[in-house]
Amino acid sequence: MKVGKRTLMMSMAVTMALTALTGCTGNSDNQQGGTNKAAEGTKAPANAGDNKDTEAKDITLELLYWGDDVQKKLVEAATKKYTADTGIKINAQVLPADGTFDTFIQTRLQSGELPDISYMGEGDIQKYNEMGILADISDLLTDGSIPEKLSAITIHSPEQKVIGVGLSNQLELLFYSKSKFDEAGVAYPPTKVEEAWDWDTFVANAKQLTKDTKGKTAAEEGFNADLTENYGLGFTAGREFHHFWAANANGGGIVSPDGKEFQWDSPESAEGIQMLADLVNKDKVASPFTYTWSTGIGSAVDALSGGYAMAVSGSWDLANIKGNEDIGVGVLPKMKKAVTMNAGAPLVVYNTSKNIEEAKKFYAYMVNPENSLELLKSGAWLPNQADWYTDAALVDKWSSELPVSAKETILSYSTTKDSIVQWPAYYVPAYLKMNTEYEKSIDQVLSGSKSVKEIYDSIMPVIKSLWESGKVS
Amino acid sequence: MITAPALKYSSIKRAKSKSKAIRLALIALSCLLGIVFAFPLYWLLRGAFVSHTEILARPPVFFPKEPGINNFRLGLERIQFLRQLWNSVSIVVPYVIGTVLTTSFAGYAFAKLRFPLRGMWFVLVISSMMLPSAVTLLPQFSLYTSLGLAGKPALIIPAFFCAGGNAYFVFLLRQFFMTIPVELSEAAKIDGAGHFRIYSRIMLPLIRPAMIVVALFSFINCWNEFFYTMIYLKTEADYTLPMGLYIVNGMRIPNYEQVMALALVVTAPCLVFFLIGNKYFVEGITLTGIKG
Amino acid sequence: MNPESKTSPAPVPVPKQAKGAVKEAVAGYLFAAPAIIGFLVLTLYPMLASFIYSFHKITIMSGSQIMEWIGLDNYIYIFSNPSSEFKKSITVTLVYAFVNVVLVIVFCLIIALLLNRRFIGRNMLRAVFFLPSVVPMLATTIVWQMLLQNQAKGGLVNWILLQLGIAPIEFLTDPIQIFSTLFIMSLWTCGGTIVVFIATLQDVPGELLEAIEMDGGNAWHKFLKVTYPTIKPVLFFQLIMCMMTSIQIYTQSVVLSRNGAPDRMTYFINVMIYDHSFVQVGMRGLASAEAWIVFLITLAITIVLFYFQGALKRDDSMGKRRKVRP
Repeated sequence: MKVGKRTLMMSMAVTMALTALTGCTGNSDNQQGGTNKAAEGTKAPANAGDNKDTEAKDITLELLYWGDDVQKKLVEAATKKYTADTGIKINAQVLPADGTFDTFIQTRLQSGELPDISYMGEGDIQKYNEMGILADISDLLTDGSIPEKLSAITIHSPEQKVIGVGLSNQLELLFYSKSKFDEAGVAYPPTKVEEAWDWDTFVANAKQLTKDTKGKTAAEEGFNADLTENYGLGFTAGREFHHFWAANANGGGIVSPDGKEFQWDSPESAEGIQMLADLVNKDKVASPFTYTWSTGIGSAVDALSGGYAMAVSGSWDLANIKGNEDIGVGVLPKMKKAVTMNAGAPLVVYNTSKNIEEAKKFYAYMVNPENSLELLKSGAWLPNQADWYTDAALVDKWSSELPVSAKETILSYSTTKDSIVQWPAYYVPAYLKMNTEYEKSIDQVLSGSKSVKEIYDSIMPVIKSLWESGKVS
Repeated sequence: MITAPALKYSSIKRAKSKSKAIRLALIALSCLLGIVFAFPLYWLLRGAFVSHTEILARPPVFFPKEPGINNFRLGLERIQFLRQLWNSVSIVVPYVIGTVLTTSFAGYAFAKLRFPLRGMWFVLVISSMMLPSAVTLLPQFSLYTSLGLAGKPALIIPAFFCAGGNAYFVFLLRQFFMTIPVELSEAAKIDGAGHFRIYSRIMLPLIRPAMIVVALFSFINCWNEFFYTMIYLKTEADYTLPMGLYIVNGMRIPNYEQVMALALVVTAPCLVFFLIGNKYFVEGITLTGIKG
Repeated sequence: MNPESKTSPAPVPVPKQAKGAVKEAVAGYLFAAPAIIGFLVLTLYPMLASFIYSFHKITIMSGSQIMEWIGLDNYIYIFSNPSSEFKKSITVTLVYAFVNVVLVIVFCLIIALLLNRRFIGRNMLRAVFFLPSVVPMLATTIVWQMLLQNQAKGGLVNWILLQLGIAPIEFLTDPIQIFSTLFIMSLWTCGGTIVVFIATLQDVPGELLEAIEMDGGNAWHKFLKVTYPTIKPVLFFQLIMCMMTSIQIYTQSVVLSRNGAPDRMTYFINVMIYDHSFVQVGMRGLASAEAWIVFLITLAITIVLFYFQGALKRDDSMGKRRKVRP
């Protein structure tokens, strides 16, 4: 009796296992098609009812993007609106902006399931262009479906085809906590480029804002740096974008904007980076960080409500302020010059897309600031078109809900000549390789075990030769 | 040794009271270590229930003021929870079934059946346990991709072939089968039972505790699998729960309390299975533990 | 899986010796088939394929994989190109693995010895030590990150240190301290080994321990003369398993940092090979070569360990000596 039951169970288990296995195989093979069909099924009647453009029917575009929480909601809202307007379904998938994103693209490339359209890391776009999977979107610009974007975030292939334009513009900014400044009796950071704190003032102020457990500030005698409880400054990450502005601010650079001069190994660049590292190791006003995302201080806003008085971060962090009155925004301190760096991840269309024309239309929609107003208002994105910074009516459209200090700072940067430098990722083909090489050693500088000069002396020859090769891979 | 006690009695008594003190100290030490071990779990629990202002607060908040399920609600909204839960379950269930079946088959064969080259096959199968997964990573990926199986099947198939670390269980079960006296199966053979009959009716009941251990361990391994899911699962709709957690964590969302709530959700089934299977875990490991 | 079920219901006459042997051999192969096929298709084939890959440059162009024979170039790159990340990666991995194995084995043994006495709450304590090992590594890493990060970001441990007037430790950004973090997490999750050791300690013959006590031996003598020889095979097995899992460390690194930060100290081989396979472009051949060298290194380590222990045979005899516990 008992034995019989067991055999029965065994055979059931085998059957179940086999069904499950084959069932899964079937499922995932048809997954994409299945969901698409289901989607179409529900959409078709609705369309018929609305008497919408019949061409658009039956098309689902797959969008791959990254973003934090706020961005995710806003991107979803934007795609929903697009579906409502055109009837084209958007299957939007969010991923973290790290290795996962590359893995996703590469594994799906091999199995022939690339998305139609996706965000792309500024540094990665040349790499994927070389692999031959990106569509040329020059025609969108020439026929005017995309008005001219800020040239700083328009990406060209080595053959001068446009392969992506930035969805948004992003600037490196200085965030601060008003209450911590008030408490220490330090004036708020200026919001005008021409008034930017010089480096000594910046360090002196940061020292006044840095406190040990006994309440002594770094500016006072007897300050014990080992027992720092509150830091004057934090970096959300050490990564290039949060880091390279210092090279330019000190009169150096990475690669000149025309791409013709290698400036990364110049003494000015080295000194500029050294001044950042010194904030941690010599001036003792910042907490240690490394040249990667995850070990930074996290969201600038959280850092400011924690143990930091100032935080250097990208403008996307504006979205996290959400009415927090304590947060102010100012211009970065100057070294020899007052500059910031800009970024803005491009959107790309994959040439493997089956609906490439529709994908391009959606592309034009996504990069139009009018269609991402919510994202712009939140501060997550800054407009990617020049007139949105100069035309007062357009400026009001996106900046009305931002803190006044943030608005002033951004407008000051965008209207002051030469105060924004372009991230070399956009125009240096070998950039990714160069940065990878850089990344391998630069933590030794940030941790204070070596000077920038020592590290540069050992790594710059290789990086320079990569730049000279001019090749992506 | 037997004649000694009378002589050494008093010294032993003294030693005993001293050793009693040591014993108590050691027990206290164990308890202290136990608290240290339990604390991070408490911190995970705390993290899931505190509010946003409390989670990173200094001084730290040890007990949330108003514990609520808000974090869970918001956290689960970030991922397609039910979908991902189903994905996890639909991978784990066949995985565990496959593991238990095939590892016990192999364990039985290598322990009880004589066949040519048995020794060689056993060593080869077991040695795959020592193989770093990185070596097989790319070709396996290409293989599954070319067969159109790169997806959930790629995560389940290894379980049906004692692959993907399951060689460990083959080894464990073989050792266990070997403790079963030969006479039992001999008797059955004389009664005319075939090998499958011997396996299913005589062996299986005897190795049940070991199989439960294998099932529990393979459940936990599969549930927590993360390296391969990252490679093989290609749409958000296919992600497992740990993958969903990884994505949310990787997005560096500012609401860390929600990440903690999600982490707790992902951990919960393991804890539940542990509590249910605790007896088997400990007994089973005690039984099979010799080897594993 | 099916053929067996066909053979089982058929009434089998008392077989002749030879016929029985053939039958047994067939049954043996059928039962072992999943494992053997699995070995051939999912282990041996990928291993050989990987070996062949390692002599190629593999690029993906417009969706198809292109393999170009480049001979030993990948291996030459690994060992002689200054840009090669292999040396640092294998160094940090092996250092981590060796130290971790020693720490885990010693720690687990100590805990097992502590718990190897009867007292109220022992079972509960045992559960407490075991529990963390079932927590997904992902969750483990997230929790410990919360505990160990800079106090200005809300890290608890450093906040406590600071209140005690002790300089906080940069657990996550210091290139050396990051290892402390990894070891702490590793010890926290080694409950399985503790339970195995506790189980094994039940086998230590009490009479022998008492005998040594009679002879005036201390706890150390007891451990060395009786406990250690009894648990040695299990110890050895756990050591090998721990070594293999340590070498394959991955999740902790990718959750705590990116690209092996700080200073590539957590750029472990699995992280590197994954990176070269699925993140970087055109490095799959290189990744295969790296994987093969890693394979040879682990093989060498395993052989050395087995050689020093000479435990292969003892292991087998253990299985026979042990009787099923009632």
